[in-house]
Amino acid sequence: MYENYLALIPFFPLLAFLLNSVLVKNKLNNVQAGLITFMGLFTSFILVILLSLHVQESGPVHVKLWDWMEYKNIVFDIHFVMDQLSVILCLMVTGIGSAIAFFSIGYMDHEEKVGKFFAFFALFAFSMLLLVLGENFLVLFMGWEGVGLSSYLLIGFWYEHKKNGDAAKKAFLANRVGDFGVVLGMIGYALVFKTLSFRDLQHPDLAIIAANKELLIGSSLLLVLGVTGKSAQIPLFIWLPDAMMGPTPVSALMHAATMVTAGIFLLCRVSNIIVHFSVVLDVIAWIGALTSLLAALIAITQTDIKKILAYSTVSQLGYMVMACGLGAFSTGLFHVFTHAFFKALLFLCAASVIYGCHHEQNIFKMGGLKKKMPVTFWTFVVGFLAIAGIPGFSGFFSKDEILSMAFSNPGNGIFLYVVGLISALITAFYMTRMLVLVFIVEPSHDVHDSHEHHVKEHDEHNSHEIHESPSVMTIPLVILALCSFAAGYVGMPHLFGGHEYSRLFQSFVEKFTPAATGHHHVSEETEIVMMVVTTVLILCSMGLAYYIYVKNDKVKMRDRLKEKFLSLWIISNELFKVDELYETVIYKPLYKVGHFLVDIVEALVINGAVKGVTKAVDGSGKFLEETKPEKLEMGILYIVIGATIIVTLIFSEFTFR
Amino acid sequence: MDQLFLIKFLIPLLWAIGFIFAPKQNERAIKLFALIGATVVLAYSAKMFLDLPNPGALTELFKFEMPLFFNMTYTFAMDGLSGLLLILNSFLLLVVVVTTWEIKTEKLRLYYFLLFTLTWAVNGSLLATSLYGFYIFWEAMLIPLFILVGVFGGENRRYASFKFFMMTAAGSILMLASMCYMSALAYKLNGSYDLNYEVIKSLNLRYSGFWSPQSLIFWAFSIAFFLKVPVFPFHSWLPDAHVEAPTAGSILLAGILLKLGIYGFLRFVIPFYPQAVDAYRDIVLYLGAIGVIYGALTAWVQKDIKKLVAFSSISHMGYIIMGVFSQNPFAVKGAIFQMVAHGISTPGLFIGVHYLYTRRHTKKMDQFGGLAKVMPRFAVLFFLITAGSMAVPMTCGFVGEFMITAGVYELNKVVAILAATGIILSPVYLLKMYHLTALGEITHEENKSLEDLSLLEATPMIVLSVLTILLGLYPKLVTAMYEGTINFFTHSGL
Repeated sequence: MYENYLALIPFFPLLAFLLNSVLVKNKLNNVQAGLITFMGLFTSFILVILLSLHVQESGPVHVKLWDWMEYKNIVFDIHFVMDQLSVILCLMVTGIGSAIAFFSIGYMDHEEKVGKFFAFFALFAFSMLLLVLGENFLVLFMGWEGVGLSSYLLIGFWYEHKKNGDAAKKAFLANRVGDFGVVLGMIGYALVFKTLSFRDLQHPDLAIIAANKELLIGSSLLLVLGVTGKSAQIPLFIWLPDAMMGPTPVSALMHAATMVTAGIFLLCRVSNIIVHFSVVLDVIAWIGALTSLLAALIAITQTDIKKILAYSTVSQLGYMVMACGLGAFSTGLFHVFTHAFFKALLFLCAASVIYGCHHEQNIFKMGGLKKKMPVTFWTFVVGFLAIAGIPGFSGFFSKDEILSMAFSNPGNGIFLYVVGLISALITAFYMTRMLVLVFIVEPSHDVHDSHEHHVKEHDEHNSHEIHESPSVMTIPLVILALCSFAAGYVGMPHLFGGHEYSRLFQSFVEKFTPAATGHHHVSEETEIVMMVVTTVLILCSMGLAYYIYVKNDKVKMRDRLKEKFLSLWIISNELFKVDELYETVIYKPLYKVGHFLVDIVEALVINGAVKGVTKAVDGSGKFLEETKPEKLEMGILYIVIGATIIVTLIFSEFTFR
Repeated sequence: MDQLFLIKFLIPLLWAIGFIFAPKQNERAIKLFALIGATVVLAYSAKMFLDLPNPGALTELFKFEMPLFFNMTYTFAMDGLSGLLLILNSFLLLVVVVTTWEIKTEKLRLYYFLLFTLTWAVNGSLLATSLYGFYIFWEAMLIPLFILVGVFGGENRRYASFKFFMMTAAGSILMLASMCYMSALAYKLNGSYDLNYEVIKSLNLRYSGFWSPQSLIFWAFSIAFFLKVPVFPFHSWLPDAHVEAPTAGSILLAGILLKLGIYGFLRFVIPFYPQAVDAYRDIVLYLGAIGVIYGALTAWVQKDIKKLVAFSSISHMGYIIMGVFSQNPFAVKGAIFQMVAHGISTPGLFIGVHYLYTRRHTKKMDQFGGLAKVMPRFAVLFFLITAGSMAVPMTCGFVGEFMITAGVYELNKVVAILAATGIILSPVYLLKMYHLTALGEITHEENKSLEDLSLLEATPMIVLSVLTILLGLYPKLVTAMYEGTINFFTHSGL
């Protein structure tokens, strides 16, 4: 019975996709289209809950649908599994997904092509479920590219604007660079272990690992490349901020709560292998730490509400990746879990704000929304406290555990700790900035942006009344706010929960992933001191942001800030241009190579060779033609000589054979 | 031996002759006749395959003996591989007839005559197992296509058709020369010039370095087939031919004729020249990998949409030739699958181009843009086929590329990694194509009033899209057809 449930989980979103895209399209109004997708996700959500109870009691559930291909003894099959890892991701995808689908019914109310939007939404959910439910690398990869494709479709949803199309393409290409790594890494694993099934990869043969060390390290690093693509890490993070071109609920779902966490999920899936290679772990940890810092730095000077959140997502993903690199996979996944709630919440609040402000996205043009949008404001505050890591809120527990893992890690853990701490402080700073500018400070209408040309200009709307969003949008906000507050309590440290209630989440996950080992023991006193210090620092950082942005007049303040922190300002603004660097260093030169190949190699060398042969034949023909009148027999003689040589060669071959 | 074989085999030819006697004025009747003919051909191809007792082995269908003519025999036989390609060929004929249903030309009868003779010649070379029979049909294929391009083609059709004809024929000459040599050898051994499949097998050509017979003959055959596939750097005729060819020519050329080169390798090279294949394998693998990258980069900078698709074919065929020469069973299986996948996605792209061309009479991509707004049906179908072409998992394009990459990776990691860059490069040019045509704003006034595809026009694209998804999800539908033959094509001891 549970097997059937499992097979049905991805089926319902698929059905919603088919209904919205093919079967009943054009016959539905916007709300009906939205309800179909919502129901598809919600039905799956209920099934996931049923299964998750079962999994907790009696272990993983498997269902094998059909064989896709086989090679020697390796069977590539379409095979789903619900185990300790997929349960968590499934709950997030279907649960948060339903909330966001419900929210979108309100948000997309006045748009055109809503059926298409909800079709893509359902397709995304389907692909994501394939990704997390896949029992082997092949199904995972189908979902992996499926989410890339559906996110491409959703980013380019308003395809009439060229920049949306470009953003979609960029996202797809960056993801494809990662996929290049995943395909090769997956093949490498298949060749070594003779299997792609995660059940087998969970208990790899140590002798095989030792014997194929180099190939495995190479393959693992290739997989890490895939992780950097999907989870927006250095060097492939450039696509995520641009992905904000899509409808905002989409950003909430994919680019915050689910799709981008696929990379961390993949790391957890292969955790039992990569944990044997300290090189790989170090690379992962440093990629994560540096991404976290870099993205936080960029976020400080962004003015688009969605881009700030996008960079904060990149930064938080860096945290998760760093946790995996520290060998604490369950902790990384715990942060995935808490982050999913508060980031979905923050994005939906942003969507609500954007909806309320008639598609204004520049935080400097907002302000004073606290009174006008009370529900959005208070739910946003919860999300804000969670992401900043204020004790009691979910983000605190996961972030704190990552930091303490870094602190107690032998080797260069202390450096990672410092980097992590700094980015936590910066996070608190820019989130406060955003909160203050959007909700608290009164708006000033005489702001003239010179350089934020990427922000949509909708000045004519400013005269309209700003209003709170309808309840179809605020209900999901409240639900997510409650979760953002509470989600952390499933993974409390020993300090708070004692042995009975602490680390429930982590120990559940550690039935699949290896537990973090090799860490120093940190005494409880140290732990308390660290928590207090971190919290105090975060409060200071928030206070600083509050002081700067509340106590100062908005317009002058920016100039003053620029003067005071000129270098920091420049750095933050320049880092933002990493993608331009890629464009000049890789994309354009490669295009030039293409031109070179067409204009020079193709035209001169390859076609030239053909022409050369033609000329030679032509020339010899002419030669014969010219000699014809005088000595016809000469021509015949040539032919006879040629034929004789060939025949002699042939027969000499036989004679000496 | 199949008594009715000759009739089944000659159906396309008989149908082609029928067009000569068709009434000239009644266009509709001619078109219907063509549609029925294509359906019948497809049905018989499928039936011939289904009648095979064992798709894993060559089953002799017909033997044509000519005692007065040097004791030659022409044998026709079929196994899973030739059956699969036979069905693909007939299927594409039907696709072509439906796609170009609205064709407006004075020479309608000639058009269909050429299509059916071309199909017949391809069927012939797929079924012939005596080398001379194969060679005759191989050459016969050139003529209808030559006329098709030369008569119905674009502005520069003369140059393109001659170039295509001469380059392929030049390769054939090499093949013919080595056949003469082999015949002489066969005469010495058996007292007959006949080059039957068994005879070729028994020749056992000596291999000792480059100048030995096996190696020379291997290269003669290989160059003939390289030119057909075409493998980098023998591809220079392909873009010209595609650009100038009418849609029917492009579809059949990309869909099936290029695969004949690969088929030639599988049928007449791999099993017979094992040492040479082993010795020169790496060269061919690198040529394939270079072709993947070269085709992708050159496709990227094209402005003409047909040229872009033509160069993308070079990239895809690079994968296939690598798969074949890796001699890894998995990769060979993938290569054959990729032939089918490419035979679905590239014709699909050409059909899309055809509809754009019939509406706007241009193939320059910058003349389009924003078509998704006015032609939503086209945009969706074109996207599905594009996705298949850029090997998104769950489409047929992924299956073959994945299997080939995996198989080659086992053998030679450098080549596999080079080829895998195709994963990154294929969306670069395909998405460029899609974005320039379908997405963005409508910048040209003429495009604002374009009509969406009619149901008839959409049908071939719908069928191809459905196949794209179906084969991506359940590739065994196709692999089951030729699974048993793989051992035969991975002969050289791996």
